[in-house]
Amino acid sequence: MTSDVKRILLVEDDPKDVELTLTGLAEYNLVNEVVVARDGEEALDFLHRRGNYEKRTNGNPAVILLDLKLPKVNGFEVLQQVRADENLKMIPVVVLTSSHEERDLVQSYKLGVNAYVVKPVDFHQFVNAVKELGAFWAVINEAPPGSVKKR
Amino acid sequence: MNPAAQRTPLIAALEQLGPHDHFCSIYENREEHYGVAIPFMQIGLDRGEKCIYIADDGTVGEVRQAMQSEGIDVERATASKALVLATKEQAYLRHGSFNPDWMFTFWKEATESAMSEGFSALRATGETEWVVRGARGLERWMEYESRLNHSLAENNCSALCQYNRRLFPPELILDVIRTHPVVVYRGTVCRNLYYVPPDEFLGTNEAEREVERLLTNIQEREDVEHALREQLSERKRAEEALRRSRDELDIKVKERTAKLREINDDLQSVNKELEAFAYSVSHDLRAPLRHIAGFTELLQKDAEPILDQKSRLHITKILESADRMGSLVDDLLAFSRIGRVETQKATINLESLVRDVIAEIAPDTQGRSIVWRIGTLPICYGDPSLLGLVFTNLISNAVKFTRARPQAEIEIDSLNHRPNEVVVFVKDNGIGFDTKYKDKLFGVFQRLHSKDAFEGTGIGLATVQRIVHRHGGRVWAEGSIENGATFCVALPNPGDIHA
Repeated sequence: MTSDVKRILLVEDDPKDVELTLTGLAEYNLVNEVVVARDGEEALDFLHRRGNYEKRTNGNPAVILLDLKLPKVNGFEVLQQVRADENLKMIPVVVLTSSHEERDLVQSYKLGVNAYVVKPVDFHQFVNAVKELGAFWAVINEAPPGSVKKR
Repeated sequence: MNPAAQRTPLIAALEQLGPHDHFCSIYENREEHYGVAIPFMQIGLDRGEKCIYIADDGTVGEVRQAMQSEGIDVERATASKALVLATKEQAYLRHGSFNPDWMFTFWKEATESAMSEGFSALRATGETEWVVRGARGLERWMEYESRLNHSLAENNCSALCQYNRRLFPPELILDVIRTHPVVVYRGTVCRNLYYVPPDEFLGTNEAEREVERLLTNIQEREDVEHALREQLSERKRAEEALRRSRDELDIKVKERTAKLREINDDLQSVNKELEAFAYSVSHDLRAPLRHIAGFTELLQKDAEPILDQKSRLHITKILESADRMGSLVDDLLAFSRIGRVETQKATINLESLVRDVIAEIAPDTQGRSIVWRIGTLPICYGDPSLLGLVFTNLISNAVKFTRARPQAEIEIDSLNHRPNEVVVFVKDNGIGFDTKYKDKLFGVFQRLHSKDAFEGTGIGLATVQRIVHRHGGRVWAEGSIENGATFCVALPNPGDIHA
């Protein structure tokens, strides 16, 4: 696992959700391309190449899968900082959350999210959703300049 | 005469006069002359009094014409003896000369005969222009006018004496004023301050009479002004009191409003907390639920070959339970959302709304034999998506609980028994319910049937009730076991909604 293939940044604090998400991404063999941040701070460290990620040399992820309820720095703050940063603002961000709430939805779009996906309770639906998301953002979509290149 | 159309202030004032009243009309032209005399007669005829009009020389025809042009049916009134058009020769001068004593006898007898003919009173008016022209006995005319006050006090009779101011010398008009307690002048009925009672008027001492009259007038004038001042200050006091009580009321209302607002704020914050609680409970339940379902599925996939039949069944049951809990959580979330979303009210055609709902639930009705009876449904006012949810729930229930019937019958119609609300019902021939549980129907998670028999989370009717209450309406159910159920929704009429 080399860091130069990490094209999907998954920001998720719940290890079980991480595992289920990876199960979904495994269907398109995307697991190796995923880097997992356990909270908002770690996600920002990764993006800004700080702390544990100081030595990271590759480009920006092709997509960020972002949970909203996160320890330390929540999803909205991460989104806000990404959009405010000249080097990061073009990264596609997909909110992946349990929240159906309209105010969360509206807030996310106001902050410039590219997609908003509610995690389905049903396992099959969940796996399918993650699979489709991975396929679209990491395979079909052309990432903005400065992103990690496809293999 | 149409009384409502022609009721002028003058006529209204004339209507206040009746038996025993003695008054004069001092006129300056023909219009003022008939403008008082004709309504005076008309009022009497309307009241069932006998009316006598004593005309001057050769004016009977003119009077008759004036009455007719005011809408009085003179022919009929005279035929029924309600109206008598007389000449001065038939009344004042019937003995050739004028004599007050004869006249008082005349009035007394005329009143009595009118009463015996069934009239309620006598009403008389006389023209007096002939008085200027002179006749024997007329030196007693003013004595007659004064004493007439006594005479009328004893007889059920009223009298209007007509004087042409342009014709009579001022000294005579002066006495006319002194002898009539009420004067009609230029369209106004006036209480006469200068009236002098007969005893005084007929007394001999002119100077003493003048002194008495002036003193009385000074005093009366003072009394009137005093009364006016009293009235004014009384009114001021009343206004002040009114203002004070209004101010006090204002303060009270403000206090109450503040208190209510406080209570409302408290309630709202409690409500918000409750909703936040319901939201986060259902929200936070979703993650572990997803995990239970997810990992069980993974287990099922990976371990199926090595599991025995019983264990496989257990896994299926875990998945079913997780699925059911997922529905419960979703419904609970939706239910808590009803209280939180803003309603977007509009005019709704219930009939097309109901038809849309039926089309939407078509997958559930496939393969079923259902007779739909949809009546003429009213237009109502509310949130289209929330009311759509109400009818989706009610109609889905009707479809669900008629499943055992070879032919289901579902009727949706309205009752128009109350003007201020719209009542729509959904009636089915399904399994019904025990009427003693009818209040439990609308509770959250309340079910009256086993889950095996009929699927559902038990939140549908609670949702229905919550939405209908939010619209200011009512919902209730009627039914009995095996005999179908009827659910009624009453919504306030569009015109009665002040939200």
